[in-house]
Amino acid sequence: MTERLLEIENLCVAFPTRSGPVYGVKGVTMNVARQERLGVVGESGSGKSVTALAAMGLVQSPGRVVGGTVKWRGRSMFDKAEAADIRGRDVAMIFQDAMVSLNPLMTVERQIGEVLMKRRGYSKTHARRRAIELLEMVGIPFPAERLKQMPYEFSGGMRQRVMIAVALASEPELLIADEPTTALDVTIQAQILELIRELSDHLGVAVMMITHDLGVVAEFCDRVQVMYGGRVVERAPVEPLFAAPYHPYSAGLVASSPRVDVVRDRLTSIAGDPPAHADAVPGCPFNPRCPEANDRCRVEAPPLLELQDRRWAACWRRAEEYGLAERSHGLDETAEVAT
Amino acid sequence: MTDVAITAPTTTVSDASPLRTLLHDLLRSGTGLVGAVVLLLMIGAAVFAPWISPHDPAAQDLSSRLQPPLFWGGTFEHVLGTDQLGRDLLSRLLSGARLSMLVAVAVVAIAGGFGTTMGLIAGYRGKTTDAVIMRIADMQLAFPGILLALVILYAIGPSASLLIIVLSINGWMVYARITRSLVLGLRKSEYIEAAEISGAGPARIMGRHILPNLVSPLLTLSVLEFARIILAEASLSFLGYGVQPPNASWGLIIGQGQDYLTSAWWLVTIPGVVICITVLSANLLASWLRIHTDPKQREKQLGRQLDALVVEIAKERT
Amino acid sequence: MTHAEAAVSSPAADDGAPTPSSSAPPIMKATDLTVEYVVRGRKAGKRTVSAVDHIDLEVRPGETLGLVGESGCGKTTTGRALLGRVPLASGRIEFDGTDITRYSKRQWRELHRDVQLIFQDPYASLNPRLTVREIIGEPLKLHGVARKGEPLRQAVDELLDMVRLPRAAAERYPHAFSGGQRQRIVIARALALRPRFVVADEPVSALDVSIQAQVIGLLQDLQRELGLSYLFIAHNLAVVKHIADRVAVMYLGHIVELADKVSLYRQPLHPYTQALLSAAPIPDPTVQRPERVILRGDPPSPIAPPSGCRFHTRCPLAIERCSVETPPLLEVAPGHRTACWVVQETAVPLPSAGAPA
Repeated sequence: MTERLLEIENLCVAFPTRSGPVYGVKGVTMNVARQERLGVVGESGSGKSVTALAAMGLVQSPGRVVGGTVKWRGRSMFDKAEAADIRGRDVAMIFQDAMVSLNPLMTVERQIGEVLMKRRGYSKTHARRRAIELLEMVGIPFPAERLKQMPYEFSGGMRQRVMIAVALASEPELLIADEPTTALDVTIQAQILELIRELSDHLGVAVMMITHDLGVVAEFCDRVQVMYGGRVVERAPVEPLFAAPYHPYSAGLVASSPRVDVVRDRLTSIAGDPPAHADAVPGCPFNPRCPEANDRCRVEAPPLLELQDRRWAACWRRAEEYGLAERSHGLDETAEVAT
Repeated sequence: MTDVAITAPTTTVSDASPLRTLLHDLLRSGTGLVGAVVLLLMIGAAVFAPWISPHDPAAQDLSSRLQPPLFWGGTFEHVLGTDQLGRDLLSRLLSGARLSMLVAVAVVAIAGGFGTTMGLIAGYRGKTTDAVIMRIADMQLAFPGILLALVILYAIGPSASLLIIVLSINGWMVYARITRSLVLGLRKSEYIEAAEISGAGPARIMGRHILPNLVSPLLTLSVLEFARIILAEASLSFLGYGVQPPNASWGLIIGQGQDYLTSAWWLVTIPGVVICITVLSANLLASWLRIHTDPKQREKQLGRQLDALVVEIAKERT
Repeated sequence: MTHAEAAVSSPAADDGAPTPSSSAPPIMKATDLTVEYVVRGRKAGKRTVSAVDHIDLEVRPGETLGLVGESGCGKTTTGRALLGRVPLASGRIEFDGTDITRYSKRQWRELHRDVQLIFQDPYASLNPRLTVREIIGEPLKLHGVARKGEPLRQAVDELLDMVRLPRAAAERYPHAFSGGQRQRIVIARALALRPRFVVADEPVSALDVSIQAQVIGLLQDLQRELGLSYLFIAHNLAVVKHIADRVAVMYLGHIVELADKVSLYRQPLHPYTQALLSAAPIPDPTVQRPERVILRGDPPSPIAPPSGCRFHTRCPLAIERCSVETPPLLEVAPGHRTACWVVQETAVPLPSAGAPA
């Protein structure tokens, strides 16, 4: 059993609205093990980004965490002091838009240097040398000159690399990447994914890759969590997920993902629209769009159950097939988490 | 493919037009509602003044001069007292309200209408038109407003209509600048481009597509300007260059009462308080409007509501 | 549930769809099209940037031409140029045989009955203060097709039916709808005047993957029903593949490859196209991919494009000639054009039979 780094248990995040609180994430349980590459895939309203932010103790007001726990190696991330210590050192996060996440008024040297000096105790000279090493590692040419530059002087792809360098400066054990390549051109995307893959191999960093792109998941991840309507609906290692998805949503998502390597195929879609938040639909969040939905699906939301070894799904129909549908679980009683 | 049912994306979305939602929020707010109600009362009083005045505001009664208000030892006959000519203060205030409000509303309408139009044209047309209009506005802003007003009123001779004209000339620039910058922000919106490709001309785009999206910030501005004009008119009338007797306005009433500050303090204080209350209500309403028509601000407000809810939810689950 | 059926190596089978006529004159034709911007550089005064640099393209009646490229390649500008929204530095545009290059604003207004645009962002392209009826009805009103009352109501209802939205949608505001539904409203508005040529500017890029296919399917159905021709602009080759008949690939203002769909995807000739296809991640962890072509460096800035072939600085095949002379777009196989010295100099005669036309 590989060591678990991040454990999220029954996480619930709510947002205030005119007509009352609305759940963005409801009862999400997941964990990341050492050196693992976990994919969290979902579309709008799935709650994937909110989950990651909540895990880092970064839920943006007016949203609030209203339930569940998040632990880093046993330490609670909801304790502000602990979170501040862990965040930016053991766990680092990179985002979709580097221009917004890097400080536009600080040179690259200062931004990387700050992490090195404050979080890992480097001296100023040592930090400078290490910063150059890091820029080299992320593939920025002429690193010594570029240290003195500001974020806006870099192109989109280069800025993303700088953001990765800042993230890796603290030598984290886990890198949370929230749609890091979505805003980039596809040729640059390939470069950045390649870079993250190499770095994760080379430095032994676990990666939680949040994305809506199944292609990225297929190429990069070992294990996948599929999220829909604020919940995890399927969890499986990557190959079985694509070969034989359990949850109808996962199957629909795979079937509707376009691919360039096949010339004459039919593009299918899933009818309807994804729910905007976890309470928009009664019962199973996917039921209005599900070709297999039955009466129970429309009324009761299925829990995430382990149907086979390492294969989890939140689906009454699948549960019935595996003889597990009798157990009725409330929100608090999601099944035991395995590695 | 099957028909796609409309799924409202969140429970927060109502089908009502933006205006109805705003009214609904107003009724549930605190200070905003107070401001709105008081303001409405003031305006109502002004409108219905002739019918609700206990006395003729111009009626002099030298036998009852300088009577104190009810709470200072006066009678029900003159609830707020009388002035040096025996005229009932309450009636005068009501009649003055008419003129003060009229001036304020007229100026907001004229200056607002003109300024907004200028701002729309400047923002939409851009380039030279924009530069010319804005430079004119800048030049006018550089002049001290009240001073200019005084000079004109003195030179030509003060009157309510001239007052309106002068205050409008001084007041359009702020509308133009704000409208222009809002338009610049919206100018490149895709729905504007879509309208252009659908065949809409500049007038239609400005009127139908841009202007409705400016209503919220302009409404806030108008309410604030209303308050400012009330004060400006009061100041000018106080100095004797605004509304002239026998007409009454709040500022004029104060002006005429200043000689009796020590003997009949109510002649100055009560109109002053009334002006204060009006301006304060307008500001309360404007503050509320500003918050509630800006989505980001509204979120912060809602966030505070949620904290209380979090505690409740936590209690439920234990 | 099964995946899409792969058919990479099976011989070309006609999928039954009517092929767009290739003998009729093109409905939209651009020759030597150039669009320039003036940029005030930080260092040396004004520079002229060619966003679109002397390109030729044509769309045949009833066909979909895909226009693909990454950011800064000029695809959006090309689309806008065909709508008369940007001034041309050079070139000629012909719509259904008529030269529309120097059309005035008023002429363009009339032409927009035949030439329309579908926008990328369904959240920004609908006026939040207007109801759906007002939005869709606007072009009808402005062109006098249906000004008010019953004719307008009927026309709007018809359009809602066409895009498969319920008629009740007409009285609501855009914020009540999801992204996919909004995009349908955008499409309804674009088709209100029954245009013949539509520029679809990244119409599904802002939508969730499971919804993209719905909208693409709708566009295809409408194309058949109404006899439309599309210029489908996208940055994603996988998405374009399903709707396009032919595909043009752009790089920094130039068209570097132009071919019918099957040829392009099966046998991309230009190294940039190869890189694009190679870079696209495939949603299948078991697929064996050929060694990925990873381009070095960043796309050069359009302000200071490389000399000669604009792609040479990142091209794995570049030879000396590439940095000196810009290669023209030439046909190297039937229906397959590419702008690459290396390919042109080593071009072999026509490929074997069995390759689909």
